[in-house]
Amino acid sequence: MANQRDIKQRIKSVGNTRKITSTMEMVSTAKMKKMQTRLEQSKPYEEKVSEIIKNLISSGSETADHPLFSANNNPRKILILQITGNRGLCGSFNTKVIENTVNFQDKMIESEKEVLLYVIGKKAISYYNFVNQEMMKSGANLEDKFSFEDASRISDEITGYFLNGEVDEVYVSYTKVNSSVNQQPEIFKLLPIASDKLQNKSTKNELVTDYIFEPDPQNIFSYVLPLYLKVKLYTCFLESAFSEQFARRVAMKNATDAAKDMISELSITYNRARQDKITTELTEIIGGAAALG
Amino acid sequence: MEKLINCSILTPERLIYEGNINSAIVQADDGEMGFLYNHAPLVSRLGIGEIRLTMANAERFFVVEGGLVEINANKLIILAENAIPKEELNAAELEQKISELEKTSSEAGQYALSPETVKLRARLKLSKK
Repeated sequence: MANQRDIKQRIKSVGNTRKITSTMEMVSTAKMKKMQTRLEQSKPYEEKVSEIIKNLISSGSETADHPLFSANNNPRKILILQITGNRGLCGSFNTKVIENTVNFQDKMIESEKEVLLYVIGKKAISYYNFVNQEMMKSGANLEDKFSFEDASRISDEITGYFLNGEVDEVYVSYTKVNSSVNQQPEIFKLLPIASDKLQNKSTKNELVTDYIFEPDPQNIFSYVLPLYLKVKLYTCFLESAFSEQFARRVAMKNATDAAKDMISELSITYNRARQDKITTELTEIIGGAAALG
Repeated sequence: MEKLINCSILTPERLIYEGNINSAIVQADDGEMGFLYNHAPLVSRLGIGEIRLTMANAERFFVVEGGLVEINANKLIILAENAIPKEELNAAELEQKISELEKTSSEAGQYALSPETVKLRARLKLSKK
C-alpha cells in the first residue's frame, strides 16, 4: 500500500485538475450560450432568404437556368469543406466529423471521383498532415471571432471554384445542431443548389403571393443566390461552434465528475493507511510496555 | 384601427429592429422607396444608404449596406447585409477612417471610390443628420 504522504499528494493533484476542468466547463457553458443566441438571431434571416428564393422560383421559370443551379451530370471533381474546431478536450467532436468526412471521401473515390479538401480547424489539419493526406486549402477556425464577412469570403471563394469549373460539386461536412442537446456530424451538398429541394417546400405552402420584383427577378435572383450560400455557410459555422462548446462542456463535466469520484476513493485509501499506521504504532507501544513490565 | 406596418430589420448577425411603424423609406437599388400601409407585395434589392422609419411620435434612422427588402401583407422585412442604427454611429471616428482610407488609396494610385469608402460615407452622412 502506498504511504500516507503519496496518497495525500495525489489527492491534491487530482483536486487541482478538478478545479481546472470545472472552470473549463463554466467557460464552455458561457461560450455555448453566446453561440446559441447568435444562432437564434441568424436563423430567421436564413429562413427568410430561402423563402424569397422559393417565391422567385415560383414566379418565373427563366430564373432556374442560373449557373449556380446547373448540375454537371458526370461530376468528376468534388470539393469537401470540412468544419472542425481548433482545439481538443471536447470528446469526440473533431474525430466524428473527420471520420464522417473520410468515409464519404472513400465512397467518392470508389466511384472514381477526385476529391479535394478544404479544411477548417487546426485539429483536423494536424490529423490530415499526420496521415499524409493532401489538402487543397486549410485555415484555422476563427471560433467566436467568426463574423458574417468571413463566411462571405469563404463562400465567394468556393463559388468561384465552382463557376470556374475547377470543381463540379461542393459538399460541406460539419456538425449539425438538431436541438440544443443533440448534435450530429452531417454532410450536405452546397453546390450546385438543389432547386427541387427548395421548390418542394413551397408546394406545402400553397398560397403563392404575386410579388413585384425590383429591378427584375433575374437581377434579384443573381443577388440572392450567393447571399443564400453565404448565410448557409455562416449558420454551418455557428452550428459547428455551438456543438464544439457543447461537446467540450460535456467532456469537462465528465472529467470533473471523474475527479470527484477519484478524490473520494483516494480519501478512503488515505484514511485506511492512516488508521493502519496508528494501529501498528499502538501495537508496538503495547508490545514494548509488555516487554518492560 | 390604426394603419401600422410590422417592420423588422435583420442582418445575419443580429436582429436590429422590430416593431410597428407608420411608414418606412429605404434606399433601394437605384433610388429611395417608400412603404405605406397596404403596399403591394414587393421584393427589391437594397443599395447603400439609409432607412427612415416613422412612428406615431418618433423617427428612427439606420444605415443599410446592401441586402433585400420584402413587403407582404403589411409585414416589412429588411434583410440587410449590414445595418447600423444611427445611435451607434460616431461622426468623428468615421471621418478619421475615411481620411485614412482615402490617403492609402490615393497613395496606391486609385482614385475611384472603393466600396468601403462609399459605405463609410453613407454612415457619416447619416450620423451628421
